[in-house]
Amino acid sequence: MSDSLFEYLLRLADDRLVLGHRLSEWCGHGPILEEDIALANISLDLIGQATLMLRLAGEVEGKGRNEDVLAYFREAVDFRNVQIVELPNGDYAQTIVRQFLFDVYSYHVLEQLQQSSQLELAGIAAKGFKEVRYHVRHSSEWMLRMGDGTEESHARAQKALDDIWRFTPEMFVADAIDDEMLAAGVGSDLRAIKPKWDSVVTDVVTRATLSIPADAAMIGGGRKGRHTEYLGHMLSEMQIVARSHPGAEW
Amino acid sequence: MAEARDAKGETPTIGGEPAEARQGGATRGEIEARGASGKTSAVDRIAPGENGDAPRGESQWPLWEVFTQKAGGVPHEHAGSVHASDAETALQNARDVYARRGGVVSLWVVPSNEIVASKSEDAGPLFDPGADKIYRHPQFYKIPRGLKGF
Repeated sequence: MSDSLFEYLLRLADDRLVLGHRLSEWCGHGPILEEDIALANISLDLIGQATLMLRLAGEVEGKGRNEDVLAYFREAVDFRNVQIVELPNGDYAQTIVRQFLFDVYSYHVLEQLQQSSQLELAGIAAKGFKEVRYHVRHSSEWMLRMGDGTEESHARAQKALDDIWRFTPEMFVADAIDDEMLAAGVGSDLRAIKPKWDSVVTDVVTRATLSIPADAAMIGGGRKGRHTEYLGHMLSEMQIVARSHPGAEW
Repeated sequence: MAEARDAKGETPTIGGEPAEARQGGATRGEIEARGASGKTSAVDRIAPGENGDAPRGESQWPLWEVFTQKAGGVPHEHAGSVHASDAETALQNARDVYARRGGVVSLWVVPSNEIVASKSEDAGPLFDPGADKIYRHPQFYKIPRGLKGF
């Protein structure tokens, strides 16, 4: 049970840590000042959620690894995030589409986890749920504006959707660990979340005058440590300070 | 402009929640229209853009003034301004720029060109006469001795 819980917490945490770091790459490069700040805020929310989840994971594991050790001293193969969150930022449409598709997923996951029988996790989810409600609002509004905006913004948003869509099914793959956590009342029910996600995503995409891409071969394997080449590069930058100065505090 | 625009509309509804605020309908065109129709010679726009249109910054998006309330019941106070294409994004930007560190319970955003300001050359006639009329201040009046509970 505690092995599975550790693994389960890593999945939740790594999704948010990796996406949070990706968003932080926009800091200082946002299209306008206000959006720069918005993305940095969302990035910090996600990294904050990941911090709490990794801390709990470290306690569950019981080998003395804290959140910093788990974040900065694991290799890419040890990361358990879905691949969609490690994709490069691309243009602003790519960033927003990736964010929107994950936000809607995260919204429903955290909503359910508030009722987790693992009380620390329930608490973390309750805090995160308030944050993700704002994230969904932010990314949905941008979907509408880019999709239903100019010809160029529409084309870019549709291309982003087409490129990223095949990474979405991975979020809903429930394996033995998900089933065990669900049965124990700890985890969320990914099969129940999928139709809700479909409905919200379809609604926003349609109103944004974009079209849902046809289902293609699924890309995935992140939960088992199989990642795109992008994750390794991202981690080398994310981890270099902690690894160059082990134990440093500031 | 003491009234906060209540921005409600069709927003992504999620998990059965009521739709949260979206566009208050302040599209570029409308802001321009309002800017033009509300123009009078007696007043200054606080931040007039070209031809009295909504003021534009580098982003080419209209400017909005942001008011924050620190606690229920106390007045909203001017916090600064943001650029945004419409009311909903103005509200979101205001949240990110002025409320992200907490301490805010309510936000107002107002198109900057909707704020009517007095002209600086009118400062004399408008404000100077108050200075020498001390009877306009409550301190001018003596409270009779023995008056309780005043």
